[in-house]
Amino acid sequence: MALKLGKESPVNGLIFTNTQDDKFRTETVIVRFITPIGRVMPQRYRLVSKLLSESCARFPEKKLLSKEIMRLYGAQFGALNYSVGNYAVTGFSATSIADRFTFGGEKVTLELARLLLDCILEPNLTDGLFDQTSFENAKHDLITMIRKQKNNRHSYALERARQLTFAGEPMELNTLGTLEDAEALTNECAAEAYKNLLDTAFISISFCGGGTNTEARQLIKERFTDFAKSRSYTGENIENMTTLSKIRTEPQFVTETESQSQSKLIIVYKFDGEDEFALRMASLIYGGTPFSKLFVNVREKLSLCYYCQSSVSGDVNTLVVDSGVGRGNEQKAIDEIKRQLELLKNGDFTDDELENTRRYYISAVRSAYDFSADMNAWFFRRFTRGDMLTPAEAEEMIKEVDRGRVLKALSSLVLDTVFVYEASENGTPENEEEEV
Amino acid sequence: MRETVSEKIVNERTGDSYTVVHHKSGLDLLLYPMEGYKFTSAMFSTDYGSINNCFKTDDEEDFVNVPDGIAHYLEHKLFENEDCDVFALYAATGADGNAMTGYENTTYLFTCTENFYESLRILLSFVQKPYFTEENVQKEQGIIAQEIRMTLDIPRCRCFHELLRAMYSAHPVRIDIGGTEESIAQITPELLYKCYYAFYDLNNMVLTAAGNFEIDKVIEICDELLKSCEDKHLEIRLPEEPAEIAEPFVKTEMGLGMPIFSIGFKCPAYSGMERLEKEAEVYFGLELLAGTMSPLYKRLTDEHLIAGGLGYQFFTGKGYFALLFEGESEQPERVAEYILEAVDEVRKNGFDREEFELMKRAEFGDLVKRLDNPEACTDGMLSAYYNGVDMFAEGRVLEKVTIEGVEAAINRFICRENMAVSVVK
Repeated sequence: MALKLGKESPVNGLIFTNTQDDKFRTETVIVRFITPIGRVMPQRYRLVSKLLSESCARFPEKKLLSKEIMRLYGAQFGALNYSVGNYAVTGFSATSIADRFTFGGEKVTLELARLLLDCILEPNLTDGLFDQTSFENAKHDLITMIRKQKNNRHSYALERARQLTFAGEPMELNTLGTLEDAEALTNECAAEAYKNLLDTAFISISFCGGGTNTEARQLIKERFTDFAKSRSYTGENIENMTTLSKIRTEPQFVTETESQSQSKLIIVYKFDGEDEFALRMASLIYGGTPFSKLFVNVREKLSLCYYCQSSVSGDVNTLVVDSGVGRGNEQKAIDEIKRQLELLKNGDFTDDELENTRRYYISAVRSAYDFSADMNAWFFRRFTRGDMLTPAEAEEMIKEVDRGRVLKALSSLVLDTVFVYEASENGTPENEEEEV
Repeated sequence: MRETVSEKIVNERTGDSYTVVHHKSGLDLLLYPMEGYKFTSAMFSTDYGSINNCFKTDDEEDFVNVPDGIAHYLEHKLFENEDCDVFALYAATGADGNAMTGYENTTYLFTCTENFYESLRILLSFVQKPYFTEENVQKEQGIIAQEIRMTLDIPRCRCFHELLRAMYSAHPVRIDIGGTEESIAQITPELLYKCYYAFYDLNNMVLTAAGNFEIDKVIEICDELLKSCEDKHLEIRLPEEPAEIAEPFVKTEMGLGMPIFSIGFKCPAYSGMERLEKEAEVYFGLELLAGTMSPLYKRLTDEHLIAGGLGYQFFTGKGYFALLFEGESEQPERVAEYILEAVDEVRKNGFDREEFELMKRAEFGDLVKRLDNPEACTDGMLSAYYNGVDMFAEGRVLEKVTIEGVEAAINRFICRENMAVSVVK
């Protein structure tokens, strides 16, 4: 059966979307709370989401909740936290097999829906506070996550480049927050943040899968509709979460040094265009495929790196080039990356390259139909962009992108930030051996 | 030449099935058409990985040793044909091609939503057509050197590799898959051809596909493109690995914000069905010992010795088998002690029977979920094939596992004498 798509907003501040295809054997529900990004609250919401995903009044300990999840045929249940433009998303995802696969015909999708509702709406609170041990554990986890950001050099370089690119703008912040704020968190802060999240967030609830979980969907819709009616939501009726970052008049060049084997390069371009599909085509031609300009020239011809790729952000007007090169080759790589863009802007790509890229792009878009999680992610991404385009509709739009639109998109790219996370002279850290 | 023969593999519980075709060329095809899907995933794989660095065929008088990292290097170089780059060929069909080299296998793959048969032709053709020259082999050194360095900068990979070196003193699994910058500098076109003709024999390879295609059309293309290989009587030599670990503790300084650790327990190696059974027992055992339902998890979390959970897995292959734990901690040695104490507790009181039964149910749920995903199916068929079983065998073996077997495996395998700890700070 082909994809079925539904969308409804029964109360202000609450939206339901449903995508279903009967070939899927699983059913997923994702509840997302969307709030403005800020320095303090997203961090607290992150902490709260951890607490809510590990217990509830019915299962007040993580062990008990884990047993229940195992009983529900190893359902996947967890929290999610990330930012989109100027917004923070705090959410919960629950996936189970469809009821028809259970041993005794159990209504596993309905039971998982009840568990999800309990965790979000009936938390394990005593005198208005979370269990103190659970709170301390969640706080310790958060502090560790903040401290370990620098562990992965590559992701740290990307994060650092993001901070530099958006310095002074809300997008500079991430949902982890600062170590100082995390260390100062109290159980009272968490309890207040929980209340605040439920009272003030825009709520998006997505159902995705085979569509056999009728009772589960009905239950979640009723409970959340009643809940949303009981609060007086005064926030924004979110219809588009994309953001435009200011375009710098002069690019910034920042170098930081680290004891590592390889330098990481992050080059950020901004654009003022609105032609989403032409920009994505341009990025794919530039560095988004194994036959792109960056792959063929920076990697294959000059042998400077293992990876050199470009991608367009879905929520803010940036194109990011990302590579890892040997110490001493940083400038050579930067020069070639910039030169390849200039060549493209001057029209140095063939019709075959354009058509091959289009084919590659369409194939990636079409594949969303065959992965339940991708389908869910697709429609949430479209929601953040203010439309509900299906992959098939997007495919038609990609087909219409011509050379002129790609050139126009390329010409709108302006160099914003070059961040070199340079390998220090001593290079690879050495091993030590000790007795226990 | 033998005849092409097909057999159907059925999952009795879910009714799913796939077809195994023993192709006349010597290649086995594992084919799983999936109704309603646009997406297709295909893998062409050889039973040759980084650990196969000492071998003999009819072409050699004695065993030959080849430089570390050559299987991975070969994988990179196969993408370059005499007349063009393979990615350029895939570009014309819209397929997304890639490859990966592991300790035991090398796999070439593509995914697509159209032109599957044209892409399959590309895959079968380029893997059977090596083209190595001094110039193109030399060119790859810079790229692979950066891949090696990229891995060295990932603390989790570094910690794991150091753990393998601490556990194994002779087995080549202690050597990184990509080799070192020094070892890859020794690779020549002649050595690449030697490895290619030894291991890229259709009798030593397998093709798997899942998604949107017809079995008969795949067989037709195989009839046309597969070149039968003569049996060169390939022999592989692996060094004798002592039962003892090489080093109990290794530490690496990387200037991390939060130290990470890997703790390994070196176990005797198994093969065939016995390996699958042991894997199933330790799979349950690790979950019961360290999963979120366990007292060990609660103790480590409540005392803030770990954050974000304790990772655990088994690591098996030809001549190696280990149980691994990993995570982030300021006190990895205490985490190791707590693991040993938890096993002492299992020796005294055993595991919780109710939790064991719940895990079996959860494992069935996982198997059903995987059947939703063509890539997971392609990969699942391939892994099972290399284990000498079918994709649905895992479910059958898991059903037969007993709590007594699980307890015996954990009690036997986890002990101080075979424990190694790797810490990256």
